[in-house]
Amino acid sequence: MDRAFRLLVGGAAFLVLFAPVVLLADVLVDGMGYISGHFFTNYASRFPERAGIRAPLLGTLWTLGLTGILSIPVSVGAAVYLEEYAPRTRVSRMIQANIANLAGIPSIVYGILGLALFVQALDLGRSVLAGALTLSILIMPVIILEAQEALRSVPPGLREGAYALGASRWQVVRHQVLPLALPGILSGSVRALSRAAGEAAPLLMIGVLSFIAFTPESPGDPFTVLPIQVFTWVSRPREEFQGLAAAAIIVLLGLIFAMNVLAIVIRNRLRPRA
Amino acid sequence: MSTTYGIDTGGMLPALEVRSLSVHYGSRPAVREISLVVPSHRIVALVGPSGCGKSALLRSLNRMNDLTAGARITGEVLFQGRNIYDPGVDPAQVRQLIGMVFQKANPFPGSIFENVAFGLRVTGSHGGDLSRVVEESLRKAALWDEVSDRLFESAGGLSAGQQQRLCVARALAVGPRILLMDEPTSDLDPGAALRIEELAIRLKDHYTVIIVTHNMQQAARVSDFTAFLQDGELVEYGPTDAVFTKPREERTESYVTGRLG
Repeated sequence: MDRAFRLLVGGAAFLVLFAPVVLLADVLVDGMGYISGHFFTNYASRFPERAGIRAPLLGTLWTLGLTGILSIPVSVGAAVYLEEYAPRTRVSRMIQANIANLAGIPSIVYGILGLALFVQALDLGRSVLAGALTLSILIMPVIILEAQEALRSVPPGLREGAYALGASRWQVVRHQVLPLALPGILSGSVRALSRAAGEAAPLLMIGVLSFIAFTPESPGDPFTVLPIQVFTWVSRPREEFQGLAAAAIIVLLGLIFAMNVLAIVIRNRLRPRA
Repeated sequence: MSTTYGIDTGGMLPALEVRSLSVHYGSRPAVREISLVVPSHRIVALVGPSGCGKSALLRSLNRMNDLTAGARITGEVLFQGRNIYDPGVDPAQVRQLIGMVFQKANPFPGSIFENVAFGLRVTGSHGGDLSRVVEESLRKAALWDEVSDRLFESAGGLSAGQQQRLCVARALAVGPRILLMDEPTSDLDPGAALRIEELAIRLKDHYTVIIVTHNMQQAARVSDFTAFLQDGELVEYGPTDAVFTKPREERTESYVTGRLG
């Protein structure tokens, strides 16, 4: 019985590891041949040999940068309020439960919200700003939860010690709690951003264009992103476009992988010595 | 039940006067209508079985209980002629003047120097000479000689006993009148505990000390007055000799004899 169970859970672990490895290998085989210098510098084209990811790559970087600037400060502020300031009342428990629920809402729903609110009501059009705002409200609940987790991991004795010396709430938060929680907050934020990097659905919803032959120069410009470029290329019949899609996936995965490594490095390197 | 005890304060104004203080955590009463007078430049020990309310009482004397979710405090704590629970009083200032040392030493991450300097920085009470006040505070806490050559090393590298004395130094730095100690030696070995006791006795010259302890020998060794609490009530309060050798209350006697053997 014991051995059978061991085999069962071992098999599960193997499957979890095996499936992505096969997928990754397949993508690498299909796409590696298409990765070259001009793949990064050229715009999309209907001629596969000339097509590149310049617009969606820069679009992704623009969107992520703006999303980070918009979402991280607000989310950290909300997390600090909920953990350090809010009285433990029914209202704050309700807010807490709602944040957890928001983090579980399918991303396409945020796309609809983004379309109605940012593209139409605020008249931002299909701009980088509209996309970044949409992705911001998508990942803000995730960053809030991660930041709360980081704040909660600060030992309560440290807060008490600071309060007992006559420090105000803001001084305790600013000088003792935040510095200790910062690595966790940053690494959680980068992980949340890496999730945003792979989102296509909410941006398709707000009507991000799939073919763009210029790069954004301000938040008001139209843009596209890597997942949408992948989506566009995959839906083309010619086999070369399948290869280009695979190549774009490799770049996207590389970006997300790099962000996750960055998150781990931040967590380990910036941790203050005890 | 409300009880007041006449305590000989040696002609000096009391450091602290507690009047009908009650503490509730949620609906659970932890301290019931306690009144007592703490004389200046004396050590008062709060003793009693676990859960008797001695820590709850202590944490109400510098408004640390404000930070505990669900804590509700009624009654008065008079300090320098004013009730610390008056609406106009800033709890941060109360805590600066009535310092606290905790059961578990809780040094901040960072250097020994920074630990002592933190309170001075946030309260701005160093008069422009940070290093001098840091040195004085470490001397008052009998730690200077052990750390003077490594002030900028991490406080985490100190022994548990040294960390606790660092916490005392940190508290003294911001210029308190009263020091509250919440079972300050229960995590320490006997040698380190003894040094904290000696320190507490030395501090009497300049401060008033209120110490919570579950160690009756410790209360007998260090304190001038002892308050015995049970089920949130003040059973007996008086000079330590009297409380230990000829207690007025039967409950005190059975606890004291049971614990001292």
